[in-house]
Amino acid sequence: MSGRLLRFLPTSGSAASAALGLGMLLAIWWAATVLLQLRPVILPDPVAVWRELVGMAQSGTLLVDVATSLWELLWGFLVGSTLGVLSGFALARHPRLRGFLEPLVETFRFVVPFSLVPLVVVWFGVSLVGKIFVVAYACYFVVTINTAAAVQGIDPLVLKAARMLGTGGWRLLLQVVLPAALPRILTGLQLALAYAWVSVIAAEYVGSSAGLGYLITNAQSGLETAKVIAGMIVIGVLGCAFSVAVAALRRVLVPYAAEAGW
Amino acid sequence: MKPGGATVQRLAAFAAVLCGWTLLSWALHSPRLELFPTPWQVAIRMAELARTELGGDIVASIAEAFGGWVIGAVLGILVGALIGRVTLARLLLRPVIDFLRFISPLAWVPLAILWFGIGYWSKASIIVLISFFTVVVNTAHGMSTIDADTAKAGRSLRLGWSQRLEVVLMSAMPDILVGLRYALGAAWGGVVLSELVAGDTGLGALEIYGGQSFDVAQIMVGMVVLAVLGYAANRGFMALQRRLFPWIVANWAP
Repeated sequence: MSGRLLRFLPTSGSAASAALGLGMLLAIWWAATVLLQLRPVILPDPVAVWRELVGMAQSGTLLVDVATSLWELLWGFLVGSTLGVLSGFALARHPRLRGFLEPLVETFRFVVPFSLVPLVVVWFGVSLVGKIFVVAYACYFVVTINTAAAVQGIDPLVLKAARMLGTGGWRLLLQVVLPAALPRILTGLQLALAYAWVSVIAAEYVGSSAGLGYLITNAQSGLETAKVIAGMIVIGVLGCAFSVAVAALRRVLVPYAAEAGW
Repeated sequence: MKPGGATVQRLAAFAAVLCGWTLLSWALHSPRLELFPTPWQVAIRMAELARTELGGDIVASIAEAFGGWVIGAVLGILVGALIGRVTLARLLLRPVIDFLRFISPLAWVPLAILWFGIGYWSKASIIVLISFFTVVVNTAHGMSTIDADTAKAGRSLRLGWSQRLEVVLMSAMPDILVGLRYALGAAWGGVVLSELVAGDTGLGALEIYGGQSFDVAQIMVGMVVLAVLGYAANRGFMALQRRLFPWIVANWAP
């Protein structure tokens, strides 16, 4: 019987599974607030959170916060992942550069991105530049390491064959190296997008005047628990949407690479 | 490449970082407000702080990170084993975890402050979440992909209950270790961030106080100490893994 039930279960890690989980959580949450008679400041019931969400959406403040966070995410991710892909290729293709860059990457990898937040607040204030700095830093290393591993991991026979057939220079890079390395590079970018989203929220906790991270810390200091949870749900839903979008993009770009759930 | 060459290159890279840092701080030097202190100014500040609060902050941060990591890891292994081996648990728990995983543990910081107040648990609970979600996914994966031949061998040897558990646990161990090590790294991020928001003690609070008084050197002390501690935790974990499970090659890469 377990086998029959399992067939109805959505694939692990998928958006459908997450939606099912949301439904189950809502049921538990609602039951908990009704049965335990919790005070709204500790745990408001789902209806109160929904009202808060609708209220914020109608007044337009939610849109401003979401737009601010997305804008920071876009710039930070673009800067960090572009630099990451470039230095990943450089690391993999030039042994001399690798000897110099690798220790640097290995050292700075341990400097926690969030520990930069107070620094950028002093340097750049609450401006966009500070957020881009933190988010790009958070993306950079995972993209660099995965890109370098992807390019180094290409079967040398493939490269030899391509050269023997007269391919070289840019053609070799675009038509042989890039398609072979793309699945792993995309894995790096996928992880980087998740890190970037987290660090957008983190950077907004300290020193900002709009954005989803600001929304939830501000609501917390006003003891508005319903607003905090509403903000968390928006963060989760957007994170889920990014993940779905990247998975779809991956299927389009590299249909030849296998994918795995958990 | 011979090992001596690698060391030389590493030293050269460090020297380049220090030189670049010094040059930048000279270039950006302003007499009224030191926004980019030189390496030795940071070292002096570190020595000053070491005599006052740095020790206490390090202890507080380590206590939060380690306590949260252990609790999250134990919970993660237990729940992950249930999900990996018991169908009913998989049906009930996996969708819930799939949803909660999308809400980053770091987004729970304001809620943790509302629930636990500013103190040990408002930070340690975030680390518990980080550690739990990482370990549960890896454990469930490891437990549900056990080699069929190993399972068959266990049955034909008529292993007892505890021995079967050991077989399952040890074949999932490489995955569990990957999760544990990743969680250990992520825990430092969680500690800093929750201390930045709920700052009373710890290295994140040290940085926030530095920021409030425009003391960039103090912020940089916090960053350097956190990086060193993260590096040491990573090395310690690898050394322990090699000693306890010398047959597991996963995780050996730095």
